[in-house]
Amino acid sequence: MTISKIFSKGTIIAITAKAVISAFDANLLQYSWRRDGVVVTSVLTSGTATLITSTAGTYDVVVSHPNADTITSNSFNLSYREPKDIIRLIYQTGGFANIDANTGNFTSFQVIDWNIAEKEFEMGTGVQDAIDYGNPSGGWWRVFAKEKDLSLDVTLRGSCGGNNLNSRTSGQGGTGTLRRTFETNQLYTLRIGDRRSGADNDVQVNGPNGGRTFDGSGNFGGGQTYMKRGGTLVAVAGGGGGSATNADGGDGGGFNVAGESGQGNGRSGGRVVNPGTQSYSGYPRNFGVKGMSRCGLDARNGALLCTFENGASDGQNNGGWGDNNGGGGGSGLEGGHGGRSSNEAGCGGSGWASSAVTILSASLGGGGQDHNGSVRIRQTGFNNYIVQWYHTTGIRRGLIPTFNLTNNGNFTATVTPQNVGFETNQGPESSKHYLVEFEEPFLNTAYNTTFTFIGDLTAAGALEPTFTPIIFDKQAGSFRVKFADADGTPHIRETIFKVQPA
Amino acid sequence: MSPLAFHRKLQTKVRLNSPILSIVTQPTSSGSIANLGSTSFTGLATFTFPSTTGIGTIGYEWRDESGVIGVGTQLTLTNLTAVNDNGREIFHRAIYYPDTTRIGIQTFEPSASNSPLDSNSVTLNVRSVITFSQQPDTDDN
Repeated sequence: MTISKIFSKGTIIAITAKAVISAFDANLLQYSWRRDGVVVTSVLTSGTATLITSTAGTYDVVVSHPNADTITSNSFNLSYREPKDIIRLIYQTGGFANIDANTGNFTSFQVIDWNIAEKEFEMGTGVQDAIDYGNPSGGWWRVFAKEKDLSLDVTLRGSCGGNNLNSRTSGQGGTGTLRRTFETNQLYTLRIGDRRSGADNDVQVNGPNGGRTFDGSGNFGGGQTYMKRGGTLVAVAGGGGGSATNADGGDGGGFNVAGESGQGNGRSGGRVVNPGTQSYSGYPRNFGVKGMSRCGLDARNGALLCTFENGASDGQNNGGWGDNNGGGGGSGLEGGHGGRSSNEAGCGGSGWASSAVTILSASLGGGGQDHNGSVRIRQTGFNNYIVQWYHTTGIRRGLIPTFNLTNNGNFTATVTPQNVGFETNQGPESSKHYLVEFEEPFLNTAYNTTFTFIGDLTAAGALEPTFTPIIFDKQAGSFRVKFADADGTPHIRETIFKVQPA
Repeated sequence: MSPLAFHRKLQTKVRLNSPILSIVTQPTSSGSIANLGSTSFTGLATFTFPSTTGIGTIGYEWRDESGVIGVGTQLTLTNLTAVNDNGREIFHRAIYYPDTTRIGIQTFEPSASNSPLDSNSVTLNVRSVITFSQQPDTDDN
């Protein structure tokens, strides 16, 4: 039986085989590996013979022995394909007991290989998040680019504060989107904030938590969501502060955005400070807050270790505790202070990002009300629009007015002709133009738009040699475009335009 | 009682002109034998009387360390395996039997003085068998 396998181009693989001999010295077994019938290497071993290769071909191995007849193995067909845009996502399952204290490795986990070119990946920490995103819930993920370096736009959202104890509003988690080239096989860690509210959406998935409460009916703060490269912190989105019984919690900060003070709370939200080199463990009680470390704490000797994410005590649960019906502070780069009375809500935790990433956006709050933390991973340029239209307006030429639109991008845009025929004053000016609206707004207006014209007819059927697109009223979620020709700005018959993020 | 009187009462066999066995054909090694293969051996002996003639026959046994594994001048072994048979030593044994059918003579027919006579030993060289416990493959991850 021949085995055939295909690997990503450049992958070094190990082909293994083992033979046994019924008598005589097994140490004299000689394995001669062949590729396409030509011996490439030979080895004497009584154990498993291994061939390391990155060359396509049909492999087999001939095994000989001075006291036995030579045999030839089945064939193994090795072929290669172009690398795919695969990210491998590994999420931890079970409790902290399922994390090796010495190595930081998950001892209980699940693996997902995701083609990020085909679809973005989004995950959160709660049951509802799993339903919303269609992916497993989890608070502790590890990610790497499996086959080639990938430029990814990663959105981190801190968790909102808890909401199940009273009617006041807890602060939302801070949000931010960063861009980073994920190197092949370089491990990244994502910890996604949780609210530990005790409600159905808290499934104890080992997400970072916000500050809790000593006593009273204040809400817990929200947990921060953060990303590490190896063991080194690179980005944090702060959690929202928990509401007090009579005050609303402060929002968490996005990248390099301070946390907001809770309503009625005279103390600050988490500050944007350089991550310290001191690692903390345990919860910050007595109304204090703590900063997050760059690295993890090596469980073996207590030293800082920047090579891996290591455990529950990595300073991520650093929101201040609330008391006397005050809310807990959100966690963050620095935790937000908790409230000390029913009129003091918890403050939001701060966000941060290192120079190792490009910040595309950052905001105070924005993580959504009553939402746990979440992460979206999207390939750079994935939110693109490829739109084609066919437009006729030539009533006087006997044409039936039509406007047909086709979307071929990853997202859908709508296009509405403005000031057609006798219509006027649609939009900010009376010129003939088109309003383009995006399914999902870009992070800002720095997106690129290109037009390709099919033919040289106006929508009315007039022949014009050239059109020059003029974009105006450019917004994150829309733009308008008109087409200048030799004597005006007519509607045009047919074009394809593409819009991609910068 | 004198010493001579003692010896007169002791029964003593006296072999006069007894035959001598000798090997005519030694079994020879068949070389390397394949797994589950077979091999055959041939052995032959004869006897001679030094100064007279006699009548007798020769019986043959094929032996290894476990005992008799065959009789006659030919031996064929089949389904040989390295595990069970490699290094096994086999030899041929010739045994002279005097003719006891002639009345009145048998008392005087001597046996061969060198019976039984063993041939040289041959050692079986059976090749082993190699099998794959794991065909070439890779870890999928």
